[in-house]
Amino acid sequence: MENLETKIELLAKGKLTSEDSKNLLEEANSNSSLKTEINYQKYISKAIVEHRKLALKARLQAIQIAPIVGSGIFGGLSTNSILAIKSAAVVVASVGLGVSVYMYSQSNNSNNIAKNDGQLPQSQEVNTPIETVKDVENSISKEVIPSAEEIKKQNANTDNTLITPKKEQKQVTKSQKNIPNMLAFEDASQADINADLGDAPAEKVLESHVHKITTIDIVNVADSKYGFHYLLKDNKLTLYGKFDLSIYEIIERNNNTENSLYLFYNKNYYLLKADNGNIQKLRKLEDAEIITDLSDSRMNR
Amino acid sequence: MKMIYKDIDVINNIKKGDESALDYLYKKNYKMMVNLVMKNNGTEDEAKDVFQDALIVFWQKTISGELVMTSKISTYLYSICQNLWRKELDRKSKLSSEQVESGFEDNEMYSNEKIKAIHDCLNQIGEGCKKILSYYYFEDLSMNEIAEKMGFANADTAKTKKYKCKQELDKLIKSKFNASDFLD
Repeated sequence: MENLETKIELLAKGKLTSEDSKNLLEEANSNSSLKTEINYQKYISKAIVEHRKLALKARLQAIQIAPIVGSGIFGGLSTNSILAIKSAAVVVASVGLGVSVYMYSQSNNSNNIAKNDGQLPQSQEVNTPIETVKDVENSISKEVIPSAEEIKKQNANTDNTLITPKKEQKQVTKSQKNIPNMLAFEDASQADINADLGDAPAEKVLESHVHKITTIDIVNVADSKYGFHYLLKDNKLTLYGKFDLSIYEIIERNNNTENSLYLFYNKNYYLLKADNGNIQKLRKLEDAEIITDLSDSRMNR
Repeated sequence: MKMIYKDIDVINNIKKGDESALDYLYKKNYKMMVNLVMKNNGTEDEAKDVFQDALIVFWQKTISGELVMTSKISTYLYSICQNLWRKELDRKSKLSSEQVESGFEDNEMYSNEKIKAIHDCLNQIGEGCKKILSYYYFEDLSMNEIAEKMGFANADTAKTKKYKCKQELDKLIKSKFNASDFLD
């Protein structure tokens, strides 16, 4: 009988072999109690699957993401992207151009990054020219949706959708990201994650989600004997040369084993490495996989 | 701070049952997937629905070991969304013509009322039991895997626990329904 029960359960789950299914269903045609049992088990299976799906959907539905039309290119912007734009925006703000890029990203993404946002400073107050915000929305409405085959191509060109306000460079511009040097969880709170894992012994998964937030000062020295060089030392990044072709972004890429900083400037990516306090030339990143990853992240933020 | 995880890390976390990996994929790919549907006559709510379903398919396939990745996760999700949205458009189209012809919607194979009643019963059983039944029916895990996830001594213990949980559920359902209710 146990064998029959197992067979019925497997049939209900759609996991019974076609031959066994056929035999069982044939038998059920002449045995009403067996037919009832099979129908009942199908309902159980269906209901449990639906119940679980509803729970997962409810979880996803609870994630706050700004509506597509209103979110512009900063929809779903992540904290590190904000850091990058903030650093760039501070440079921009210093000469009074493109200030709204900063403000727009600040206001529109407070929901998206609610859990992390509390760690960001609110001290850099600037006024918001309306026109620039409209420009952002216009640029989004014209955006073309890539086909699956075009995703890679589009990843490589994501900067086309970014606002690139012109700016003049002061000789030395400094921005400081006052991010508390504390541990942060990605997306889910500790309580949420504990609730999800329940009594399963997979709690160690949590550890893979803990990363340290990097605090970094950025200084731009426009007039220097070094052109297009950088120095990364003691959490301070000094960029030498004129960076006036586009806003620049600093992107931090974390995974379980490494933590790397990248500069995105004028459609190219540059890896930033501390090299015993030596000033280094900015060299364009050539690794296609990393470039795709970074572009993908920037495109989907 | 935004973390960028490699696909393999995301997959490994899903295999461990870490639901925050789904949140990560949802946020990371939201714009691309929602735009796909919205550019093809869908609303944002429909797009969300499709993308959430796609992520659930991805979760199920990953955790059950059925997933064979030959592309990036984002590309894979994009394909699932395309297929799901195509099916939805077909369904809408058929529904529209059938409604004109017959004046009513097709009956579903399963009675929503019965499914909802079983959901009520599921909500009455313990969290542990719900988890075990979900692992067995939804994630399609083996008894060994269930034992490992639940911290049971072995597969036999998992089997016994699952049997008892199922009995508890059966008891609740049978207090609401007669056997003949499932004869259709």
